[in-house]
Amino acid sequence: MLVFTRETGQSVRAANGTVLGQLRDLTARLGVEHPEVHRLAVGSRQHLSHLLPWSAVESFEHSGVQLRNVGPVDSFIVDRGALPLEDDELLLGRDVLDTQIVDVVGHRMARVSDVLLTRLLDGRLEVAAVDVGVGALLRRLGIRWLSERLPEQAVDWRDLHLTSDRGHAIQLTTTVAAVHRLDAPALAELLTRLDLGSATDVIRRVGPRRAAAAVTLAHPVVAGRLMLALHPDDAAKVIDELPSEFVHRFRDMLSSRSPLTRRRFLRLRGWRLHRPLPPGAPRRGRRGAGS
Amino acid sequence: MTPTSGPARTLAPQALRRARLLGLVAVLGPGLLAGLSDDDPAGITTYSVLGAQFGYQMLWVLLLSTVALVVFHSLAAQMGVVTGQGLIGLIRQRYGVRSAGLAITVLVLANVGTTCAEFAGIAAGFELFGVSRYVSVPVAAVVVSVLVLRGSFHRVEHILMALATVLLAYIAAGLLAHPDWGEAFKGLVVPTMPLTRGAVLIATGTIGTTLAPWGLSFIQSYAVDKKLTPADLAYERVDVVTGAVLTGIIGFFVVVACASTLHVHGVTISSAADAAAALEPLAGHLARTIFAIGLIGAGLLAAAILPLSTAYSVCEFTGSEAALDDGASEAWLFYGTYVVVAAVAVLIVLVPGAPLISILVLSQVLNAVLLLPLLAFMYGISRDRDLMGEFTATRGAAAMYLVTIAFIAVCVAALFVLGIA
Repeated sequence: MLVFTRETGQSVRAANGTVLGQLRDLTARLGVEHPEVHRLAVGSRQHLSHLLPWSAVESFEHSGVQLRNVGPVDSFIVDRGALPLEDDELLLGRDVLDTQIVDVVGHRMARVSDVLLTRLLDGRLEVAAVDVGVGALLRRLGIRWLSERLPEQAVDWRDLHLTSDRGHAIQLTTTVAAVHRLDAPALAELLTRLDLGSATDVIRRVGPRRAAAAVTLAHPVVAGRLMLALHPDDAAKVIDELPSEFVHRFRDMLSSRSPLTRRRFLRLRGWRLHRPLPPGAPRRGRRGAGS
Repeated sequence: MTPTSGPARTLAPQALRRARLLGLVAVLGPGLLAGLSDDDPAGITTYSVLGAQFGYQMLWVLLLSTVALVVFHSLAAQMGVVTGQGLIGLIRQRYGVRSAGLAITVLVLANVGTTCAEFAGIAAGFELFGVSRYVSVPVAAVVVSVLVLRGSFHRVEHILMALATVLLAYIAAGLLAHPDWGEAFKGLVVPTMPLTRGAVLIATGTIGTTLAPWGLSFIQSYAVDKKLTPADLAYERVDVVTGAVLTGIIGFFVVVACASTLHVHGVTISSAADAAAALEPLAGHLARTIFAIGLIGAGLLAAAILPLSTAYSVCEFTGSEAALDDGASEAWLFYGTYVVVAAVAVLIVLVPGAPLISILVLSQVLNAVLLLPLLAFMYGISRDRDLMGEFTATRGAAAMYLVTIAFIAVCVAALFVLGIA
């Protein structure tokens, strides 16, 4: 298994031996469950200068990256502005490393300490998982004596939802992403952890029926926030799919929004996750909207 | 006659008044309560020392500190709303683990110092009632910790806030002390100060207590926790500005009260009893009692929030999910950090002979020193279009942030030039 932060930073040499720069990042296209590394982002600490296709790589070793002769490397130079990425392509360093993810199997929010890559038989690299453990974090800080005592905490790439702007947007449009195969309880867990903007994106994407099933399982506080954050048309579609006992509650909540709604008069009322309630637990939905 | 609009036509006058009151409470309430919560023992004591030692002359430092508070708390709230992340998590995402490691170290150091100050305030308050700090501080720490860790602190939060409200007595005390308003106004707008170590020290402490590192991370995590969206930013700004202005107003009257009662008689503050004397024009012999109640109420509030805010930030740094509705085994880092921060602060305050007033003021000086790297990170994030999108700081806003940072940097640099000790 290769570790992203150990592989970046080494020199990238052209076929004629000249150093193009350091390997700053890797890109991957998210159309498959375990995406392959698609391109290498090369440059200095300040800016990226080249985006090179994986097909240009002769050898990829910890000591350095050697390119094969693929013609003039100038054709891979990128502008200092926006990188010319494909619609489903992201940068593992920029859009994944150190960003938050939701582990949809372990039902937790975590921050990516490293990206784990596997080398395929033909030498290509595949994104296998992310390590969200404290050990990897301490290793990157140089505290090796302690990091070696802490276990790796890997989350399979198939089982995570990215929260970075680009990662979230690509996963919503990529059918193999975890968000598209979650059952109602897992979707409720995901919606609980996302910020409201991202959560409403997910609701719109999965459709009113699946969203309604998740909303009925979510904690009333979370369900109330979500319904209030949705566009009224989207909220109405979700409400139409809700069981009858929920319909009146949410219609009342949406129609009788108080000026005190979502205002907080206690500072220590917060720091609660409001996980989905276990089956059969009493639900007090009206109070949810104001929290 | 022009027909009245819909609600006015349909609502009875009483219902209309109620709706208006509800609207006003909804708009200003959270901010006013935040302002009350932010006036902690460290702040009251630092402002008292400022007024007692330098009269009205350095009120401008408080004014600039309040402006800085408005500016950076607004930015922190905006960063939380736009990115959905707390300060330390955002620094890690934007600048990587090493920078985030520096930021969390700075924040923990500053927060332990300020938690010490809060427990020192509780100790000073109880000592005015004749209760030893060796009893009051451990008991307060245990009670607050149990309430917070059981997730039921909010049940007593309004009671403590009501106790802290007695510190509003400074406004009346300031008015009743017949201050020289001309001098006060001059001190507020004309920036002069003696170039002595003591003056620079208290100026730096005033900045550090008004715009404290914990406040920045707290206000951002608070916006994140409420799951606010950009559509809610207008209300959030009202909260932040109202809270900051109320903090500044209370601070102003503390300085004015101390300037017109203690400074004119050459009294310096070396104990809580000295500071309480500023309330005598209002409360006479009850001054000590009022001061002690306010100190205890505000101290208990802050002693709950500070370790909690620190624990939240540490978990943000590591990426661990943590919330008050988790059990200790699921969120060991969160609860462990809370306990360690509170315990270290208690132990420092309980060191025999520990000078409470010095702890209260010097911890705030430390705050100001440690503020600088955090503000620099915030400035960088505010200018990052990838993170902030349409809310990226304009050149004008960026210039304002830089001027504020430069002002604090000058104070800290002057402190080092003149010698801290």
